[in-house]
Amino acid sequence: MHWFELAYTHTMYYLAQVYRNLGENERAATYCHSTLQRQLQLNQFSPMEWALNAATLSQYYITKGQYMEGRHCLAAATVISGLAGEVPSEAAARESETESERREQLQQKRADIARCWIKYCLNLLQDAKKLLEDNIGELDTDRQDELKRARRQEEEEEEKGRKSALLFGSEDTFDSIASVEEKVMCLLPLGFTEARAVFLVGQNYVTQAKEYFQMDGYVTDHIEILQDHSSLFRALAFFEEDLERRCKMHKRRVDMLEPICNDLNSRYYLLIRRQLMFELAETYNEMMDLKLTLANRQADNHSLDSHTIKKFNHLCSASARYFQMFLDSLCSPEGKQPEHLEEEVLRPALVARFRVARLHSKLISSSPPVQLENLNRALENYKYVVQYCEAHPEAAAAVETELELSTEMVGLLPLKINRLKSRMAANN
Amino acid sequence: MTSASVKVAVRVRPFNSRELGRNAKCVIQMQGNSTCISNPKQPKDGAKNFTFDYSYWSHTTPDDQNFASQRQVYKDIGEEMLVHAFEGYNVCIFAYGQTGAGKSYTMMGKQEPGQEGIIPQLCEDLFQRTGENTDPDLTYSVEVSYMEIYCERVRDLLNPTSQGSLRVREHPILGPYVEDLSKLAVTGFTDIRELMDEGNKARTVAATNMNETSSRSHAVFTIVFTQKRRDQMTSLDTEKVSKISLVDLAGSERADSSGAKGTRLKEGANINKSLTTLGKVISALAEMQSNKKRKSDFIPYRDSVLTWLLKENLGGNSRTAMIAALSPADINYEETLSTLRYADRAKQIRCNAIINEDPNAKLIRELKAEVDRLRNLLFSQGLQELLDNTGPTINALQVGNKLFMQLLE
Repeated sequence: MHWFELAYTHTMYYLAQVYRNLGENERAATYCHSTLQRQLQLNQFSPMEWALNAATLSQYYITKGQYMEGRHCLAAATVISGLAGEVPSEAAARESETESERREQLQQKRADIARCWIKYCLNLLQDAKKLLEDNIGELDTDRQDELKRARRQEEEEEEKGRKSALLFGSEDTFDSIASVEEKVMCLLPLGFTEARAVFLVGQNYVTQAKEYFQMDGYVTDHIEILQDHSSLFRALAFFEEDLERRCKMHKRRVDMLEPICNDLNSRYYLLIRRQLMFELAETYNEMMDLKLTLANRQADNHSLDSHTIKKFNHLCSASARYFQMFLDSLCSPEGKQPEHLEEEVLRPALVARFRVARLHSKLISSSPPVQLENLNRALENYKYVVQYCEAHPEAAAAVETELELSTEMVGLLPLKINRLKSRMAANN
Repeated sequence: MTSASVKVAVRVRPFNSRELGRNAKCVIQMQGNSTCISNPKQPKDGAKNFTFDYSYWSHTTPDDQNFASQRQVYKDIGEEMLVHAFEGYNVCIFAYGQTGAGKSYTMMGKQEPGQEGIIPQLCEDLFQRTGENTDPDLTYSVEVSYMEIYCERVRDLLNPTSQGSLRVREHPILGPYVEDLSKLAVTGFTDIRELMDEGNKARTVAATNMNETSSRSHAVFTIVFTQKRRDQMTSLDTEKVSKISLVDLAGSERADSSGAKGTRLKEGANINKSLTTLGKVISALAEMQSNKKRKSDFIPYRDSVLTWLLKENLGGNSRTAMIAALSPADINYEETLSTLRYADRAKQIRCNAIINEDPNAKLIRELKAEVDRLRNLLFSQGLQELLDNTGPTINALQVGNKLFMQLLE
């Protein structure tokens, strides 16, 4: 009987492989799920290995938007990884190499499961945002109301789904798994309160994961976790109605990523630094826009006080500075700009030029020579986009809209510049 | 060569004694940079064609004008890498293929004239170039490490008696490194030669103890090359450091990751043993899915030490080349085909760090509005003023015409 049960489990596993090779992922996933379930039922599993497999399967479900199944896998992973026992103490680890390895393995794998949870929370928030946003990325309150109304129906379906789903666990673990599941929702959050709850769960796992993946030792992993934390903030900001508080969330992102970006050795971590620079540039830009919107709401006429202007310019320059840093990172060790942009950096590089141009034309100054300088810098960068696309026609497809607008600006800015020059000449 | 992709070469060797003894037939043909392999069991099937950066025909002898010598391989691949290292890039060359296909011959070669592999030729060339330097403000230093990776355990071949496995870590300033790995300063080619010999001996000895052939482990020879320039005017030193990694990979016949080789599964399998690859199946599922969306999943399997090492060398400021070694014999057809396919896929390897851009719909809308505003503002000033300005008149005319056209619409 026992042999037969094992053979049946093996069969599930073989079917999973067959379907994967045939490209039928859904069926393959179902068989993977069944295999895991049977391993638990038959008590034929090594806890950490099982937990990692379940956590990985959750990532499959998450990318398909099946959050209920994903949550179940993660909750089971958390509970079963607990069955692997206590982490050997530091003292024990120093005594024996086996204990030291065991300590490493347990801590690392539990931290890995935490990272899967972070992705769960992040994806849930991001998918909710996609559903709720309008065509310029703001929360569409009509759609929000519509979805809230449809929610009750969703909840009923969730209940039905749970009853028919393949549940993991045995008598002892069903309850523990359910109690982990209760800590976070599996439906898309529709408002700030729900979003914040998901955010907090994600943030909690960030803290857990960082305990093991410390900067000294695990640079790449540590930074990926920070990037996820930053993305959690970005996603939550979408739901926040108060612009001041929204701005503070973006400030948290900057405070988290800026020191890292500057301290990393660019020789070894060039690619990561590029990602950080780009994200910092966009975040500062976001803050700049928010500050301007806030200021315009407060002032009845369109004049801004000097303090606001200073703040605005600071954010604007910071954004431009990081986009420029990104562009500089594309140069050769001798400092030469690349003549040909690689596929991976083509769009970001041209977008960075476009953004630098725009930011320079937004800088506020009462001094005409400074205004002139800003406009010239803007023109220079819009021209680069146009000229690069002329020299590399295949690049135009990657930046259609930006190219269109750059072409317009290349036509219009010289006129603005000349008017300014005439005024300056007239005043002298 | 583009920075983000791997330069790939394949090389076919002469028959070895075992193959000659079994009257093996040659299934490989090469033309230019294309390699062609025919199926000995299905001669009617069309031969499979592959194109690489280089296809090295080393099956015959030097009298054959198509023959690719050790020197030629170095000249094409090794020398370019050395030049990149002098420019300040990190470089990596690795050799892949079935055991006995010629990886070590290509990388190390034999200590006979004309038979030296890439590593000794590169080292010799390095010291030749640094030796030619007459500039007193330019100084060089060279340090080497030699490590072996076996079953995810890292061994220091220049200090083989050290206990335990070395850990692979990353430091924000110092970069990725192997903890406690010996880094020995060398002043000339003889030093390097001696260290390489010692390291190679250490590989064989350990292998015997483990009852495994050294073909099951990866060997990584690293040269850290520092160029220091003193600026006379400021008395400041600038430093350019490049890392040259030369990797001889384990025999690829073990690299098959499906785990579904028939005989293994039939052995009254203990469930855990045969399901060790369940994890791989699941992670493959998750990875395939996520390629369609942004990469927002996390696959919790530690990359192998080797992947970590190679990942470091893909993209940005690194250059990587792979040489795949091929057996010419029909009896090795399956493995050789597998090597060719792997090399073919290697051409696609690119660095993974994607820049995720925030959607900029709002910004585009704002800018479009500004363009309109600017146009209207300038138009309202009158076309005459536009033409009067000392700006590029062609642009003014273009704008003017556009506005005019809008009026007519």
